[in-house]
Amino acid sequence: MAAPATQQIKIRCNDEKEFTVDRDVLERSVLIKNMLEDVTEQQDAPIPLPNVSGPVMAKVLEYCTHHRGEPLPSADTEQSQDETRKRTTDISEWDQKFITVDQEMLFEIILAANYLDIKSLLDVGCKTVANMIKGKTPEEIRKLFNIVNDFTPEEEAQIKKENEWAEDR
Amino acid sequence: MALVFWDFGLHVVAQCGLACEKNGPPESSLEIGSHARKVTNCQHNHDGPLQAMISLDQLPFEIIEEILFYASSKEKLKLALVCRRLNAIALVHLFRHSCGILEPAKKFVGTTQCRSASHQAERVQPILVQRLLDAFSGLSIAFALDLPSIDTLHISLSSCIEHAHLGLVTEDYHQLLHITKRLEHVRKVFIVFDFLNISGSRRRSSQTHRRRLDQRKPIAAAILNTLLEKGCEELTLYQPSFIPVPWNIGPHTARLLTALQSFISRLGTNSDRVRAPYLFMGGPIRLPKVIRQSSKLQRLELFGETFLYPPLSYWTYCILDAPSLTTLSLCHVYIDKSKWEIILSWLYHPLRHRLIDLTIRNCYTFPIPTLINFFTKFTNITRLRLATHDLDNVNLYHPKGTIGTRPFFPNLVLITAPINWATFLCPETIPRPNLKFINVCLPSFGFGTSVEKLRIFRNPSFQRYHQNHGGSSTVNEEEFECFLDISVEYTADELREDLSLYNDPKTRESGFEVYDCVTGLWVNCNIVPPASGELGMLYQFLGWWKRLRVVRFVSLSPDGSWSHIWTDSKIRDLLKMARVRCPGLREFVIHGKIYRIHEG
Repeated sequence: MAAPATQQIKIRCNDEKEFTVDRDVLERSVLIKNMLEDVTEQQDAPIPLPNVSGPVMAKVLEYCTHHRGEPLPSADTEQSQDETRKRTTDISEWDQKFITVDQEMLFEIILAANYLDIKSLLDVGCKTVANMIKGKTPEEIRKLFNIVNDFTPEEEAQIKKENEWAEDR
Repeated sequence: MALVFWDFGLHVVAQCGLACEKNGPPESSLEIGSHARKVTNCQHNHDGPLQAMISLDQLPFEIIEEILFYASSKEKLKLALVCRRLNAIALVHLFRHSCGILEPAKKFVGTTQCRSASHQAERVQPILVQRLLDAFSGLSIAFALDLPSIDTLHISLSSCIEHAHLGLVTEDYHQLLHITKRLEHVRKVFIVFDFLNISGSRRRSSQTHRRRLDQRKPIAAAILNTLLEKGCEELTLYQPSFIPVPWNIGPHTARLLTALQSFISRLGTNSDRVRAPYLFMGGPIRLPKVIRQSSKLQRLELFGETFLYPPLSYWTYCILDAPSLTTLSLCHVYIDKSKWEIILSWLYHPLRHRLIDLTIRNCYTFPIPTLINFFTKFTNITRLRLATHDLDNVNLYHPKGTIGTRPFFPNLVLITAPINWATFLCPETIPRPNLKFINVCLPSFGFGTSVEKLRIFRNPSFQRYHQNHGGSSTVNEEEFECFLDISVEYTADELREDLSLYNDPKTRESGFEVYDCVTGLWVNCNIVPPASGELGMLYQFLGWWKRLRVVRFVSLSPDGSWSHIWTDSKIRDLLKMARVRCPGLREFVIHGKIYRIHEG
């Protein structure tokens, strides 16, 4: 809180790409926020983020910059949200545009959001995937995500049978 | 937190202590290392810019669950068909979701929100779960993560022929056995045997069906043995009517029974961790003679069925010969009058009577008139719950008090309606300074009681009382609560409302003490449709229900498989009879269909 909003932080991605970002933008990431709080002294060395690549980080920063200043969900609200939050897959217009990327980037963003602990971005990503699945048959889902069907025919038949049962409900 | 595993053959509600165990210190210092671990299983995919493409099925578990959170059940079921990994995750998620555990998989990695999970688990509605989870038979492996900390197991051995046709019955028993073997310690076990026909004798049943049942029994026996080894200390058996014909016990049933018996008799004997071994048996229980003494048993509840069943056999009530008993509850237990003496001699044998909490509800053969001052023998009893229609002859004064001040048992629950019970209980002239808690429940049939009698109950000794139609309400532990039920003056609307309340699984779960009144049996267990030739019994009941406006018959089987009992002619008879005998009655509801009495 004490740090002025203009403070610049350097981060380094796993492909050696470096970004210099306003602290309040970076603090959208709970991971980085906590790291910064742990470090009391001003550091010049960039923060290493070994799990995120440059292009993905650029994208994530785009999101964080757009959403800077919005209140971060605290641990408490997150918990109550979990209980009450509706399974709505609505995504705001800007986010929708932002997340219109190829599948690989989408999953990269989701992983990065999970790693960096940016809840809202993770939600956007997950909702997007959920929307992609909507209305598709299992075969179409496989095709869409390039998933190999590893069921034996018998297993598949059995699961189908069981699912039929549940589908009526 | 609770995990529920269910399929048509059997269901397991497993509550596990995961919540507290994994509720470690919050990750306040977030080193990179600990977070990197979260994504290890996909790291090979994205530690360089030129990696192979990541796909949905390779995402970490918790992210897939997060995605599933936004998917409808239908979509989850489709995802379950995509590949093995998604199948496991989707089914677990669906399953958790139907248990009311809404959070995504964070708990799996043990980071947050454990408390809320366990809190929600308490709200699990078994009924809902039953419906939703019938479909998931292949789920056990997916639970591997949570298994060891599960400590409550809920098994329902359903033998419904409708379900058996799916052909997975025996496999699933194997799976359940597998699961039980993996558990570390089981504390509570609920076993619900299907009411109708585990023996296959009461309904039309095919040879194959019978064979399937037979195949399941030895496995069920093995399951019981395993549970015992895992230190089970509380067993709830509901409607173990699996020996409806004692002369027809085949080798498989015999094995299952033996397992059950050894389970009961060894309950609490082989583990130091067990504190207060508990046994509940509900339904028409008939155990063969192996059970003699349950030496360690401390809490015992027997809940019989309706009048339709014959008295308990001697061998069943032998479990009452338990020297360690501290809590005993007998409800709708029909024991031969002559046998009661034996039981009572066990219960108040000077070397044994540790009994402090006694409940006798609606045991119509209980020989109260011959047992004046019966309760004075139980000098240690501090809580007495008594439901009887013949209270007059019972001396309810606490043995440790004196007649002069006339104290009651300090904690008395009366579920009764003797003719002059009001004057008996609290004549205005005799103060009852020690009476702190009275729970009075008017039974719904048989006694023709009405609200007016309750009014006499107003006594200056009680500061306040509360009456509540159709249910119970505790105003305050220190005061008193009053149960009224469907025999009192109800409008049809009120009754309908109350009945729907009773039938609402939420009500059943919320600690509404509907079982504490006679109504509980009739409404919660639902009215068993009379089999042919038993209408007379029903007529009799209806004659007692003086103020009843609506009677709703609900069958125990969810699919209405008893509807064949209600033939048109039988319904006509019933209506005819009701017109004569029950002037207040307006309608019957049979399987959801309304029959108006006065419209013909």
